[in-house]
Formats: sequence, C-alpha cells, structure tokens
Amino acid sequence: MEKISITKIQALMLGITSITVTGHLLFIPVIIVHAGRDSWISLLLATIPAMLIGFTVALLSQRYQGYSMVEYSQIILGKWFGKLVVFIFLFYFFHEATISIRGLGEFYTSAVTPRTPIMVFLIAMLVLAGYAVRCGLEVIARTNQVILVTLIPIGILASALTHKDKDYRNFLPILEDSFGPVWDGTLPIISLYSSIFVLSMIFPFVNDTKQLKRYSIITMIILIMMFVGPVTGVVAIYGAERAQGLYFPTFLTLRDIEIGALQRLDILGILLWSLGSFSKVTLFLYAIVLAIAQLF
Amino acid sequence: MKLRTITKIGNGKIEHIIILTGVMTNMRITKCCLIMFFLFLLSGCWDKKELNEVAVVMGVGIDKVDKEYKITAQVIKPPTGEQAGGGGSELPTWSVSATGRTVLGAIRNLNELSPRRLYFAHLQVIIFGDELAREGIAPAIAWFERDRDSRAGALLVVTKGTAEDLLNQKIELGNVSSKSMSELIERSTIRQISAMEIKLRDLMTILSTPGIEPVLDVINPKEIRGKVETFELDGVAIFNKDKLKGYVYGSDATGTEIINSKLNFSIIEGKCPKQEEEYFAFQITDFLSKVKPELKGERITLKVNVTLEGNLLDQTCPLDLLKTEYLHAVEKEIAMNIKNSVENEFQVAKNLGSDIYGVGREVRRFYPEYWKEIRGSSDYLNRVDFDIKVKSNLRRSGLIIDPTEVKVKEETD
Repeated sequence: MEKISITKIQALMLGITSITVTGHLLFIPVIIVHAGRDSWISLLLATIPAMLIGFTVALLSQRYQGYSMVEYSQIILGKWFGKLVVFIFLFYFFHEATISIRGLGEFYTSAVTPRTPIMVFLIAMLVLAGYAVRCGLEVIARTNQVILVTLIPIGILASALTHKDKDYRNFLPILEDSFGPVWDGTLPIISLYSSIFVLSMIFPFVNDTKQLKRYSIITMIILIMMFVGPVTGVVAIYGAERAQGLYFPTFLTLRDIEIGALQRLDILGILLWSLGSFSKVTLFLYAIVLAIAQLF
Repeated sequence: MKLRTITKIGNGKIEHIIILTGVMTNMRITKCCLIMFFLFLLSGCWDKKELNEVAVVMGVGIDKVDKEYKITAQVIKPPTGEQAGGGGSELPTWSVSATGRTVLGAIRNLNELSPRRLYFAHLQVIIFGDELAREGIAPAIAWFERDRDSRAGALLVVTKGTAEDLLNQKIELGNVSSKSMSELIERSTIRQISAMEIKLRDLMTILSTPGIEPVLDVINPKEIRGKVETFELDGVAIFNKDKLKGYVYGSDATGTEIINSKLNFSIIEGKCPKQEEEYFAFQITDFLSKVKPELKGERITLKVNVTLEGNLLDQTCPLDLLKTEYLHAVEKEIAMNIKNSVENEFQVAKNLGSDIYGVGREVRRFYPEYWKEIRGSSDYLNRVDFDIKVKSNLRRSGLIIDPTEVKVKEETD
C-alpha cells in the first residue's frame, strides 16, 4: 500500500462533515419527534457521551499507533472474537453508508424532484463516491476540506436569515413531561455521534497523533454546537407541535426564508446536503473497503 | 496528437473531415466518452419545467359547493406578441374553476381545462369562501402543506361571499387581483393600517398548537358608485379550531394585532381632552407588546405591557395638545383605546369559544401543571382578566408645534 499521510485536522474535518450532514437531514426530525420543545436539552445531555466517544476513538488510535480498528480489535480481543467485533462494525459502516445514500435519495424525490427515479441519485452518488475512494484518502480529505469550508458559511447564513421568524417563547414550558422524552431524544443523538468511530479506520494514516485526544474532544464539542442552531431554530420557527410533523424541518426553514427579494433559498440546502452526503458516503465507503481488505 | 485535415470536393461543396490521429491512449478515450456522456445530463432532470409549459398561479380561491371543493385558480396569461408592448384594456390574467372531492382532485380537474400545467410556486394568496371556512379550512390546506412547490409564504384570507367571486373582480388599481390582494395586506403598514398578515406557515403552526386559535384577514369586494371597483380589508375572521365562527369589524378588530405586536405605523384616533366631539389622530412609529399570564387561584390574568411611540399628526380641537396638562390626557386616551380594542375583541371571541390571543398557550408556557387540568375545554376563557399597561410616548408632532387653529383662536380671543 502506498504511503498515505493526512493531518489530524483533515481527519477530524471528515468526521465533522459526515456527522453534521446526515444529522441535520435525517436525525433532527427524530430528535424533535421524541423530545419536542426540549430537544435542546437532549442535545446538551449528549455532550458528555459524545466527548467520551471522541476520547475513546483517539485513545485507541494513539495506543495502537499505526493500526486501524480492524487490526487493533484483533490484537485486543484475540483473533476470532476480534474478527467478530470487526464484522459487526463493518456491518455498521455499511448500514450508515446505505442510510445516508438512501436518505439523500429520499430527500430528493420527496422534496425536490418527485418525477426523477430515485435510482438516478443513488447511482450518481455511488459512482462519485467510488471514484473518490479510488483516488485515495488524501484526495478525499482535501475534497472534504473544500466542501466543509463552503458548508459552514451556508449554515451560519441560514441561521441568521431565519432569525426574524424565530420566537424563542416556543421553548416554554421547559420539561413539561419531565425527563422521559428528553432521554428518548438523547439516544438518537448519541447513536449519531457514535458514527465518529469510522475515524478509527483513518487515524492510522494521520501523520502526527500528538494531542489527538484533545483535538477529537474539541471536534465533538464543535459538532454539538453545529446542531444547536438547527434544532432550536426548527422549534422556534414552527413551534414544537408542528415541527414534530415535518419530514425535513431543516430544509423547510431554508425554503421558507423570505426577506424582501431574498426568497426560496432551498437550493442552498440542496447544495449543503448533496456535498455533505458525498463526503460521508465517500468516507464510509473508504472505511468499508479498507476494513474488508484488512480483514480477509 | 496530430490533426490531419482531408478536403474533399464533391457536388460543389467543400467538406472538411478532421481526423484525430497519433497517440491516443485508452485513458483519453475513456475521458472523451465520459465527457460526451455528461453532455446528455446537461439537458436537466425529469422534473424540468419550462416557462412556456406552465401556467403561473397567482391566487387560489377555495369554496365548498355541494360537498365538493371548488378551486378557482387565477393564472397569468402568456403575453402574445402584440400585447407585449403596451397595456391593453384586456386583463393579463385568466381564472378557471373546477370541483373535486379533494383539493388535489379539483386541481387535477383544473389541469383538464388548462393546456399548461398549473404551477403553484408563485402563489400569493389563498382565499377561503365563507361557506368553506365555516366547515373547516384544515382539510383544504393539507395539500398546500404537502406540496413541494407551494409557498409557505402565501397569505391566507377569508371572504364573506365566494372566493371565486372575489378572484374574478376587476379592480381599478392593479390588474392582477390576487397580487393586489396580497399587496393590500403586505403593504398595510405603508398605508398606515394594520392587518393580521397570516401566512400558510403561521396558520400551520397556530392550528397545530393547543391553546391558540387563528384569526384571518377578511377581504371583500367593495362597490363604489354601484360597481365593484376595489377590494376592502374588512375586519378579521375569528376561528374556533379550523372553523370560521364570526367576524369582527373596525377598531375592535385590532385586538389580536396589539397582542401580536403588529400595530406598528397604524393610526389611533382619540377624543380631545375637555372637548366634546373633537378628535386627534396619533400615528404609531414604534410598537411593542409583551404578554405574560398570571395565575391566582382559578383566575387567569393576562398581563399585557404595551410600549409605543408615535407622532401626533392631526387634531380637530383648537388646543395645544403637547402642553403637559393635555399630554397626559392624550396618552390616557390612547391607552384607553388600546384597552378597549383588546377587551372587546376578546369578548366577541370568548362568546364564540375561541382563544384568539393564545391565552391557553401562554398558560401552558408558564403554568404547565394548571394547563393539564384545563386543557380539555375552552371554559378557562371565562376566567380571564386583562391587566393592560400602556406606556406611550408622544415624540413628535409633525412639522408644526401647534395647529393654525390654535393661532386663529388666540387672535380672536
């Protein structure tokens, strides 16, 4: 295998894009359905578990320098049990990649282009991702840097432009049905943040793993911050009851922006999720390919 | 890579055939093929809509006729060559109606009448006829919520007659009637009046939130000299759940606008101090109201704190109203007016069983336990008191200090 080397910032940026995008598109509705107007509490409760997950991934990669998850699982747990665990993870990566491709396809067919067969988007995304994986990890990492730098200003813009429609009194009463629904909302967030574990496949290629633990904990905090805007925004704009009945609430907030001539900014959302999903699918496909190669 | 050009002469025409020769690797062929393949994708997706294939719908009227929905769509007519230059007397719009058991069914039937596909992305206004509104508007807006093209920013209005009738009126100012209607509401602050300005998105939120009921603007055709010449913004329609219950007119109709801080740039009239039948007019330039409920035993007190600033712009009484002795009376009169509007509209709505100010929602926000007890019915409306505090600041009085009338009086005295 050729010598690949990426920086730890690049690796963590891959993690940020892949979690944020599917999270905004597919997980925020789930959180809101469970936790309603207390979604932001669910999000805050997920901070500690999220930081623990980030810490664990970084710790394992530092301790087994140069080994990927597939390799160190077999070192830690022994050959056969290790392989079993790797196999479960492999299935998980496959599952995540599938969900995000299908999610993007469903988003396109139900919200953007209902007449276009869903296969068009699935195939296009897979072909692109396959090509990117073939180009190697360095290419993926650099492409993702460009994408993430484009996405963050769009996100901030969307949050700023919707500000006039937000009514923060919609968050009252806090904890109406005590903590039950809030916990239900926390679980999907934690499961979403667990997918940062995919980085254990690419940390071996990071050229400098000093302070990796601190960096990945900071990444998790950034991730939490990137979810605060959309989660609170949706409830503040639509009210908890209406927000619970929306398929793509974050997309609708973008679509409904109307500030004078500045209208129908849904194209920004489409751009955001198409680019981000590409990054995510590529990253997971890379992880799957690498894991299969190392496993057998 | 070399280029070889062969020139053939036949039938008097010169044909150039350019042949690519030389080293052409497999890679290059693949790349060329890919580029050629991508050219096909440029034509767009399955969902492309050409402007000359769609009919842009500006306004939709929904009526109920014989238990079926009757949809009237007002579309922009495609300009013919001759018309493009000058404005003829002919209207640039066309209205077409069809019925169906569902809204989408009616729209399908509309498409049978229209050679162009109806395109709802520029929808300005959705009008509910009186009869439909009394039976419930929620089933009628379901499709507009689901449809990916329709705008959540479309305004919702109620008319006393049928929506079809309202859409088909030819009015003097403006030739697209639905556009005129949306301007009547959206630009209300510029014309110093106030309107609820409820959009599809707001209605979705209000209808799905417990403890608050919608209030929509009412637009009626207005006859001038025996002929309908314009539209009239005529009070508000009060709903209970999604069913129209009644109308409120005049200054009482501003109650919901006061509660929702929508009264900016509006005009308030009041009686002059110490004078009978003499009035002043006050323009609001800054308006903010804050609502907070307070629970004492069974009584719910809705505390409304209104802060407003404005200019004294007109008066019929020959008094210098800016003098301290009169100023307090003027401010008191303004506060009185606001209180009356809020209480009167609430009274009307209470009798219709409708919680238009969202008292229930406010109670839920601050007293969630108590809300769980009372949420079943609208009885709590009978136990609502108001505590309205108005802090008004009379800032300016236009370009003159005291009106000419005062000067005239002083001369004669």
